[in-house]
Amino acid sequence: MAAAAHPARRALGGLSLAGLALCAWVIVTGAAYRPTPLVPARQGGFPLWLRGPLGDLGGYLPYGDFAVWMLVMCGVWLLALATVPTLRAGWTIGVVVALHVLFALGPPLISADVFGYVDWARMGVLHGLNPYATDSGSVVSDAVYPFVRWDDFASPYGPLFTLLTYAFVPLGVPGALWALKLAVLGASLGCCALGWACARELGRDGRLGLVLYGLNPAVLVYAVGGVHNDVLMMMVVLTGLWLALRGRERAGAAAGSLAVAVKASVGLVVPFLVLGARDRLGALGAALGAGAAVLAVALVAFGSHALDFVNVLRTQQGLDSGTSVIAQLGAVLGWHGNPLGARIVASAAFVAILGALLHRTWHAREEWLESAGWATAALLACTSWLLAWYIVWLVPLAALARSRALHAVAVGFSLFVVLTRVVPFL
Amino acid sequence: MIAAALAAVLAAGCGERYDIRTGELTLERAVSRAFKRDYAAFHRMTTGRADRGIVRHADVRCRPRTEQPSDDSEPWRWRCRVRWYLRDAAGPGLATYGVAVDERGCFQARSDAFPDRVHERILGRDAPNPLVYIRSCP
Repeated sequence: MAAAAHPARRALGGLSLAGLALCAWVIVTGAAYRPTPLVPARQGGFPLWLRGPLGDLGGYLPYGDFAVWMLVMCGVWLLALATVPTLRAGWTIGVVVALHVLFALGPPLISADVFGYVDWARMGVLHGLNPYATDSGSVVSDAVYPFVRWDDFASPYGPLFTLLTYAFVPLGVPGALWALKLAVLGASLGCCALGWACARELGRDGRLGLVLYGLNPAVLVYAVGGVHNDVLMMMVVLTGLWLALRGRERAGAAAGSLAVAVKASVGLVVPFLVLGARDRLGALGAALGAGAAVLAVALVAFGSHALDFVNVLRTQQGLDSGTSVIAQLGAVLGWHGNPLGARIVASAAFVAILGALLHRTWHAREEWLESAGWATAALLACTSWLLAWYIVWLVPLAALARSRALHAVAVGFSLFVVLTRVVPFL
Repeated sequence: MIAAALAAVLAAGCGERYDIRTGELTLERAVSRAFKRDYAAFHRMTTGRADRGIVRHADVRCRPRTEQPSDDSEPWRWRCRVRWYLRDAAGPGLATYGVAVDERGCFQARSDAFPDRVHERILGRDAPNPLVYIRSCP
């Protein structure tokens, strides 16, 4: 019976990979074919450099149809997860790479944030304005302005990321967009590779992480397709995890600090990297040393405003997203949005969970990786500002955990961020 | 199996084509949205303050000046009249735009109702007026 079931499961696994490829193809080529709400940056026009080279290969894809294809994609992804043990590693890696390249070739999906990155970079390099003291969209005459969607806050990103974007300014707006696409593509494939390498260090099967992260519809569509720097941040932090797992704990903790200098959201993982080290003081010193070095560079580059990105992040967390867990609970419990009382309860719950996880890791060093994953899951559950691409904060960490419950939470959150965005359009 | 998967992918890629570039309602809504945005840009440029809601309402009426060209590379000419109401002003403003719609429904609109250049406060120099040339998509 088992022998008979095995080929069937293997066939289902192969089918799921083909299904993911089909969904990805329809979504990317459809988004590139005609300007639709799938590409918010279309408000500035839909030139070839924005839509990418696949525009003539697709068909018309209104948002309702996109929602259906996303649901189908989630379904076949669940099938792929259920058949992980039967998937050939080579095939899986091939599909992961192919889908990443496909999404990188399409237009920026569901978000125009990438033009915010380019906008702040051009402000700094071309107009002499400080990205940490100037609201996005301030230079209306700049070529990137028509594509920018924000206009009311200064850069919330870390100084390392901002300096990276400065290097792309000489390429012009189209060149900067494609340079960032390449960076995010490389970083996301790097996350897959590092997840695989970490799993090997832990003596586990790397295919689960590959399917959980690399074929995850939320990761592919929102994070890679949307060209979000969260992926760059995660590549740096995964480098830190890999170094720590190989016994280079100081270097791992230092990499954690560097990841914070890409985007501060990942700062949550650093205490666990430090507490998980055999030499905690040494790891703490390395993290602080790397942080101090980044701070010095940031102060030279951006002056005293360099630390403002931490405040902006705090401001963002005070924002109200209708797709947060708090807001969705409101549909059941009878409130609208993220009311203050619910936020206070959620914040208190998060602080309590974080404290408990730090306490656990303090006493049981080997729990650091699991605890970091659970802390990130708690953050996503308790924040009032949950964007779909934040899923990349959790999935790579969860993929490395022993806990099946954390795997399930990562899958659940991935489905949650998709469903809350597509179901209203069905 | 690989061939079947590939065939399915390619077949799905050849989905519904969309040969009509635009319609009156689609274009009017798109021009209205773009005008509001560009007016807010003009306001920000000249005052240094962001105010997305400065145009309370922009009523747009568009008419085609020609039939849709059969050649995709040729623009489809329209004329759109914009009547806009600022949030804090009583009377409407009026402008007429000559509009060129491309094969994907995106448009470029030009008007001579506004000065070509205005002072951009943040840079302390003159720059093209965003209300003269509007480019966007539905």
